[in-house]
Amino acid sequence: MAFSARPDGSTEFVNRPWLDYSGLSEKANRGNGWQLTIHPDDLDEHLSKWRASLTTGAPFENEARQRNANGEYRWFLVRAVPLRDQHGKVVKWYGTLTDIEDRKRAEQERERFRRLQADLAHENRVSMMGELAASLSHELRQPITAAITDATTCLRWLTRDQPDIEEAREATMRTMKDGTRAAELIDRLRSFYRKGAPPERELVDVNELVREMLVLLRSEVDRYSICLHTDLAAELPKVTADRVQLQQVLMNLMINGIDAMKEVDGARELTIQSRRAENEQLQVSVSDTGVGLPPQHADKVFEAFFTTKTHGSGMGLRISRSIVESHGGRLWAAANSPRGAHFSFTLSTNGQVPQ
Amino acid sequence: MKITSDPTLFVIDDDDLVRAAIQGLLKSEGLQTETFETTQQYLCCKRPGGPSCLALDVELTEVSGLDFQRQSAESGVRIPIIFSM
Repeated sequence: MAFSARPDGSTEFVNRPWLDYSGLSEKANRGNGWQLTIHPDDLDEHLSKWRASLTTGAPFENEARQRNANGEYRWFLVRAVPLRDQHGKVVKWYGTLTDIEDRKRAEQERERFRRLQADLAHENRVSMMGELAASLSHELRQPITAAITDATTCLRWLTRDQPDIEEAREATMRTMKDGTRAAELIDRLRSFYRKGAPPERELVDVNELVREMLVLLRSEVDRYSICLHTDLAAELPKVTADRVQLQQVLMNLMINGIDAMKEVDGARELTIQSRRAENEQLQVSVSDTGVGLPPQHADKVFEAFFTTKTHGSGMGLRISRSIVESHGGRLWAAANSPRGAHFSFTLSTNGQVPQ
Repeated sequence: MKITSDPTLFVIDDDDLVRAAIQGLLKSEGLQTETFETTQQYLCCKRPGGPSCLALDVELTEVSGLDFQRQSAESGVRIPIIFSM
C-alpha cells in the first residue's frame, strides 16, 4: 500500500489497496484524514515522529495499528522518504504501508512465553525458599541474637560505676558485624527472590555463586546432618550468564540432593565440584548419596511434572535444564557411585552465548 | 588453656558471632570463659578441676546439644549444662 504527501504532511494520494483496506473514500483520506484510521494509543507517537521528519527532512518510519474497513486494527510499518528539488527542498513525500500483523503477533507470543517462563522460574525460586524457611529463619536469627547480646554487653560496660569505654567499643564493633551479616543474608535472599526481568548477561564467577548459595543452605545442611564437600577449581574463567538464573540451577540441584538424602541412613554427603572442561567449557557437578535416580530412566527427572517428592512441583529440573540450555550448555544426570545421583552441567566460557 | 581453679564457663556454639557475643557478655559479668566451635574441641581440651558450667547450643552441627548431653553423661563427664537456643 502506498501514499504520497505534501511537504506540510497532508495526504495527496493513496492507492487502491489502501482505499480497500481502510474502507475510506479517496476524499476522506486526503489532507489529515489518514489520522482517522490510526489506533488512538499509537496516534501521538506517530504524529510526533511524522512532524519531526517533516521538519528535518529525515526518512520517516513508525509502527502503528491501522483500522480496516471492518473496524479491526492491524499492525503496519509506515515508511516515507522525501523527494527533493534541485535545491534540496522537499517537494513531496512518498510512503508505504506494510502489514506486519503476523510478525507483531509472533513477537507478542514470544514475549508472553518469556514472561510465562520467568513466572514459572520465579514460582520455583519462591517454593525453594519456602522449603528452606525454617533453616533460613535460624540462619537469620543467629546474627540478630548476637547483635542483641552484644548491645546488652555494651550497655553494661557503659553503665558501670567505672565505665569501660574500650570494652564498650569492642561490643559495638561486634554489634556492627552482626548487623552486617544479617543484612548480607537478606540481600542475597532478595536478589534471589527478585522477579525475573529479561535475562541479564554479565560476567559471573561460578565458584562465587556456589559459595553464595551455600550460605543460604548452611542451616539446611546442618539440620539433616549432611557432610558438605566442595571441590572448586581455582582460577576458573568467568562465564557470561544471568546470575539469578544460574543461582537457581545450583539451588535446585543442591536442594534436590539434600532432599534425596533426608530419609537415607548412612553417610549423607553433598559434593559440589567445578572444573574446566573441553572446548572452552566449564563443568559444575552436584552429587549426593541419596535415594538415587529412577532405574533406567535417569532422563525422566527432567520431564515437566515428574517428581518423587510429596511436595514437589516437578518443575525444578525442567526449568534448570532450560536455563542451562539458554546459556548454551547441557545439564544431565547420572548415577553416583556407590549410591545417590550425580548432576552435571556445562557452561561456555568464551562469551558465545545465544541471547 | 590456662589451668585455674576460678569458676570457668565453657561455651560451645558453632556460630562465631554468637560465640563472641556470649563470651563478651559473660566477660562483662566478670566470668572467665572458654569457647569452642564443636563438642569435639571441647572434649579435647584440658578442663580444670574447679567449678565449671557449660553453655551449649541446642542446634549444633555435628550432633544435637541434647544428644551431646546424653553422650557426655554416659562417658562420665559431669557438668551442669545451660542450653541456648
